[in-house]
Amino acid sequence: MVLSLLLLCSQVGLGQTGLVAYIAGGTQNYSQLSIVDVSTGQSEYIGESALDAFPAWSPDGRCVAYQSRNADGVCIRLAYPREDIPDEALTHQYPVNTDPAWSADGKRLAYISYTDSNPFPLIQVYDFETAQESTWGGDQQGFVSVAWLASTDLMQALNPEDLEDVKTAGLLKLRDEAEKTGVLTAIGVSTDTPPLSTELYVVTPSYSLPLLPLLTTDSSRFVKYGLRPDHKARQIAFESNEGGDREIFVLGRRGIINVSNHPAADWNPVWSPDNNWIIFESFRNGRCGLYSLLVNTGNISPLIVDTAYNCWAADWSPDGKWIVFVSDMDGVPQLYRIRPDGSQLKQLTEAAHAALSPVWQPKTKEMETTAK
Amino acid sequence: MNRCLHYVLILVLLSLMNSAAFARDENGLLALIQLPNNGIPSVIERSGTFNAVLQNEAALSLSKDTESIPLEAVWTRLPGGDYSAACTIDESVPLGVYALEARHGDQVDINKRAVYVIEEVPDNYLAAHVTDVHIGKERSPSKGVDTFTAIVNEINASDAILTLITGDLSESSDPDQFRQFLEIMDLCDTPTFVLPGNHDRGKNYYELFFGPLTYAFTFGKDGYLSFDTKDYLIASEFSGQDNFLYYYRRQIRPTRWSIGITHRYDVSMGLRSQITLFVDDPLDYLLCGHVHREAEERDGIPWGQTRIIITPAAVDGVFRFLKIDETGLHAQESIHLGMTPLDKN
Repeated sequence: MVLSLLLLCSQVGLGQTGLVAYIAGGTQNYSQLSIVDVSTGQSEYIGESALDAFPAWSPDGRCVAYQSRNADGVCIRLAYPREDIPDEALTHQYPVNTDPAWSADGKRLAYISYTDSNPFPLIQVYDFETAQESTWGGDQQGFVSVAWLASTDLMQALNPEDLEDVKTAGLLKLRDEAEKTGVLTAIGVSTDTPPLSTELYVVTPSYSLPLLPLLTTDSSRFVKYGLRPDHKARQIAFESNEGGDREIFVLGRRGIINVSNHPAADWNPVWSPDNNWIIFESFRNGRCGLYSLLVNTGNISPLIVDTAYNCWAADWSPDGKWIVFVSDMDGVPQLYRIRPDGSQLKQLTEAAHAALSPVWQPKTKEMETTAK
Repeated sequence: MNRCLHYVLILVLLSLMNSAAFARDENGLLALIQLPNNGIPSVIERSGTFNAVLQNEAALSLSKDTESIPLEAVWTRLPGGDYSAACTIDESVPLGVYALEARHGDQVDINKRAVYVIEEVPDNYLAAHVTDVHIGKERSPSKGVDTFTAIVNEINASDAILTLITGDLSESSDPDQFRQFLEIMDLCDTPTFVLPGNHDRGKNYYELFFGPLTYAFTFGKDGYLSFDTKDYLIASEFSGQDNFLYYYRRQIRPTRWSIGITHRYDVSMGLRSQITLFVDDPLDYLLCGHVHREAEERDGIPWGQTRIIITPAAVDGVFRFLKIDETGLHAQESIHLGMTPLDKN
């Protein structure tokens, strides 16, 4: 009895609760938004099953935004797991809309939109209070991924006195608008003639500004991707091929630091909830494995790595005590969870089809109440 | 070229001798032996090693006609339950085209045209690029059969020692269309490497007939990387293919020319794949089809130095040869067999 109680307590204390949204399938004919209950292992299909992709939880943990096919192209849909609210599609100006990202207050969604005629995609922001969609970034086009900055702290830390006049003016205007509207960071194509390159932008409704040229001289030579701001928007992790291969850099108040630094590719950084750790994918052992980085020290250790299979697409539980990821260690890619120290590996899904792209549900009000 | 001709003659001769071999299960699907097969064969020099992938450990042999050559295999369990067999070709094995035969208990499986034992691949060689075969296309007078057969005959009459078929093998992913494709492809004297196009992925049969969507192989001094561009908006960003692309790209890094083969290229396909293949470690060449026409200026890969080579559709009676030598991969003028081109759709 005592042992059972201890086990129950440890289970509750482990934070092994909540839902993980993921994509089941991943074929041309079938990919469907799904959820798995981490405590019971029960999976449920909840999406439209119209080539669903890129699930993103709302900050309150009630809703999953995802992309799904419709008659016009690709739309953003909203699903409400465990609530009696029907799945709904946003109304869009353009036919193809992908990769949704929630604002910190949950009142807006940013996503990438492809027009019919223009190969360079735009950033669209959907405001749930007005039910309106608007284009962000001024005249800039060619954005390929987008994320919200939870604050303007990092932008305020940029010192305009060190900058050339034109750049300073652009930054000041953008910063003023960002205080009123919020600010996005995005990866965008920075050239319109080959060879293409990408740049890390900060974006408001009227402006967009390449961020790295404010801080370094030869940013345009490199192709950046894999953008992830930390949860307080004081640091941005991103990838670049500066140094000859794909590396993870962290942009913060201390400047830009190469934190992965290895001659095999390192990509897809994911911040821990306390912003102290980054899990990333690296091929330094041959196959794709997950590694953890203690940001302040730069110390890197393998989380789960094997020469026979791949592990990828990590996400943290909201309490930072678990990591969910995808692995093909049993053939068909499935979801697994593991402790940040590499212990207690457990398979979460077991299906004939793939389970991909997991995102752990944020803490809901109900969970916080239960915890109290 | 003499060495090349010699090699081709040997392949032709041994291919004819091998024509009686049975292949795959009764439905034409891959069975006990997954790899190599006639869509992803092993081309191996004597004393070289190739890897076979099987559903179970089995007694392996190379076979042609009544001859059977037992293979020593070192077995490894793979993720997902399959088994990998590392098989070394003995110096005494005669050159030629072999079926791979596997026996596991009562189960016997034979993959025709799976193993090519060769002297060596010459430094300069001719390859054939065929794409958009569309077996079963209703608006094609012979539903693609006559055009593909005519192209295979042209390849057999040439000095080509390798054939690359970059997708849309079928019109609508129908098993009968794949079986018909295989029947004609098996008339080809050269090793044939295939990959899926968007028309091959409407149902889930492609992998049952041919195996993996993403793979790499070396052919002489050159490295080839096949990847899947079935659906560029979602395919590469989370499916795991990106991991394989990096893994295989690194495997073929030491080769003379790195040559990507896929069905289609579009600048809006998954960016992670594009960065891996065209930015961080650029392929030298990318071969594809899909558009049923010659390449135009707008078809270039805008990330850097990778050259794209687009070949018109085989269903229109068109293919091309590629001359590969120390100076690069040289796309020859496409060859038109006098069929009337169809509208793409």
